[in-house]
Amino acid sequence: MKINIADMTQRNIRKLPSQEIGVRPGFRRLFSAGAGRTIVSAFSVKNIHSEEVRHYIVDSATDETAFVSGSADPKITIYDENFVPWQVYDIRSNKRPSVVTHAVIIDQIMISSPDFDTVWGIVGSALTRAEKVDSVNPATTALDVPRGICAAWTHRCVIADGPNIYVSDGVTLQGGSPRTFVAFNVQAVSAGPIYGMHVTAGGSLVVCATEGVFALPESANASGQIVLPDWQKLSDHQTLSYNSSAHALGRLYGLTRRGFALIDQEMGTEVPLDDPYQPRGYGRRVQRPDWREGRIYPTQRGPLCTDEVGAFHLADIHESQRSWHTMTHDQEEAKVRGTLRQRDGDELLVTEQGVYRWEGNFDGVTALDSENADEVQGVAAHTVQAPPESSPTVRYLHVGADNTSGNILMAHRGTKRDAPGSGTQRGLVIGTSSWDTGETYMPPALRSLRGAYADPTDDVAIEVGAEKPLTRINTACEVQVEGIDVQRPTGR
Amino acid sequence: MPTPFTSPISATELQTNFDAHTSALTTQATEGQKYQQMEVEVDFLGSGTEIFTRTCDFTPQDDLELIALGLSKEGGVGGILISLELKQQGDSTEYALDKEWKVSFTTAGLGAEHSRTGFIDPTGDRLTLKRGVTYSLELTSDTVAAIDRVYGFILLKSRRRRR
Repeated sequence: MKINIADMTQRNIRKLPSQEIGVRPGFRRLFSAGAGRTIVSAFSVKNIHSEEVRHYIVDSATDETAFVSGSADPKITIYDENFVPWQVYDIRSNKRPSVVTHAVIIDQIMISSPDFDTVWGIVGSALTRAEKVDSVNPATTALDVPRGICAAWTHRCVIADGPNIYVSDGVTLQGGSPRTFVAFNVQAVSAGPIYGMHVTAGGSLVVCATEGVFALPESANASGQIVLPDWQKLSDHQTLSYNSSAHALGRLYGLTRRGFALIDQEMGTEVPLDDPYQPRGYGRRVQRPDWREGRIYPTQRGPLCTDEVGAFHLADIHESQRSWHTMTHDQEEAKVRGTLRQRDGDELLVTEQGVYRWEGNFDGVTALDSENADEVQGVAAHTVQAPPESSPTVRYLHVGADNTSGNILMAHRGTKRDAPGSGTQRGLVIGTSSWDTGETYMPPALRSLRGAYADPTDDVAIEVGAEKPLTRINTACEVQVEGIDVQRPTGR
Repeated sequence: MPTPFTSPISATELQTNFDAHTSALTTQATEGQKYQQMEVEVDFLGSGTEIFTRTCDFTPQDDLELIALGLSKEGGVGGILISLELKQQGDSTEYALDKEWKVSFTTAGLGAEHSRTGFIDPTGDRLTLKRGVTYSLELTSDTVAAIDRVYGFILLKSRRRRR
């Protein structure tokens, strides 16, 4: 029977630009966390004047035991585009921040967390502790700058502290500061503690709380200094922890018990994250009893889910494709903590241990060389529906890929039969090829391999794939079975 | 620079191409880092002169990083506190990050003396002067005294913009 790999559960697989299935591009490490340091959060901000990008990376001490003596030592470091540190801001907190959010209001930046005093700065310049600024309206009194999670909304900074929303004065030509919070603009949403705050495509401010998802339309800002409390409920989705909601590609996603779902509407489609229940030959099966304890981040491709499982799941909304991803770097656990953006818009992945560019044909610890010893294995897994009365005997798996080195991968119920790929290189080979009208170059061709089995089973569970980043995999694979065995299978 | 379309291209040539490209990028990056200097100066103050304040206002046309503030004096007597301070003009201080950016020293006596403070340590105070914001460079003394010359300068750097 023929099985379409595109319909299978995928790992380290991405659609190639030509829309074919391939092994994901390599991860090239551009930056490593300092010795004894763990990255907590990261984001990039572009300077509207110079077009220069600054990367803001928040890290803290890795050693959990150090926290006892109050030396979690969290810091925000501003890096330039080449990851040269420009400013190290000491947060002066004894706790590793559970969440770090930021809001850019024209050329001012606010960085906030429930775990440290709110930080303020000028984009392209330095950071300092956010001190309250008197309002341009003398009839109102400025409050101390609150702590919490923040978002930029209609040229204002909004900070959610527990169940309360603090909305700053708007920054206009007439003045106004994102550090000015007045009592009239403190709103209680009656939604319970707020764990996520986002601005959606329509300009609404959306909060994700324990009692549901609520939105404040952009028009609530139109009445001057004071914001109207015109909250509307979008869904009953319960958000129970920080980092469990994300706004990606114009939609709002939240973690659920089984995976993640659209939460900006009721009954949003839920995407389960668990791998199929089958023995695995290539890497462990990913499974969690409750995915709400994980994290979800927005990326340019779609929502990215990550957890302590040592892998992350990326749903590519444009390509209608999703896959788990692992890393081959030594001691690297792929615990994603955010993304950075380069000047030309390329997205960089940030894990607890470093920053990675996601392109090229190998995983490496530097941009251009130092290929990792472990191969990147793009694998698709599937439990094949077999009629229970037949107890088939699996005889052959046929898998095709175009890799000229590295293995083609196949396994049935965890038993591997991988073998070196036999693709022929027809592209340019540096140091060998001549650029000549008499030569014909073409993309490498798919070559198939066959793995032999004699497995009588009631539960056909296969894994197929290939090694080497950017290897193209034949979308169709073939499982050949023979008829009813004289005995019911015992062990398999 | 060899082109990749010469026949055949060797690994060495490709590396040469790559090196030439990165070298060009580095050169452009360095060229893009322009240092600028602003100065404010007081000359030939007689003993009857009042406490002096000299101010130079300027509005950067690009974002400029503050590298250093420097101050020097020639002649005069000891015990005069002279200062050079960078301020945002007007009532607001937000584009100076609400902080004091200053270098000062008390003169020891006759002769040339100087002091300067750098702001390039990532763990220390840093500032970028923003395009379109007017700043003042203010040179002051706290004592009426004769002095030959007091000279203050600010060193700034524009970030690279070329690729």
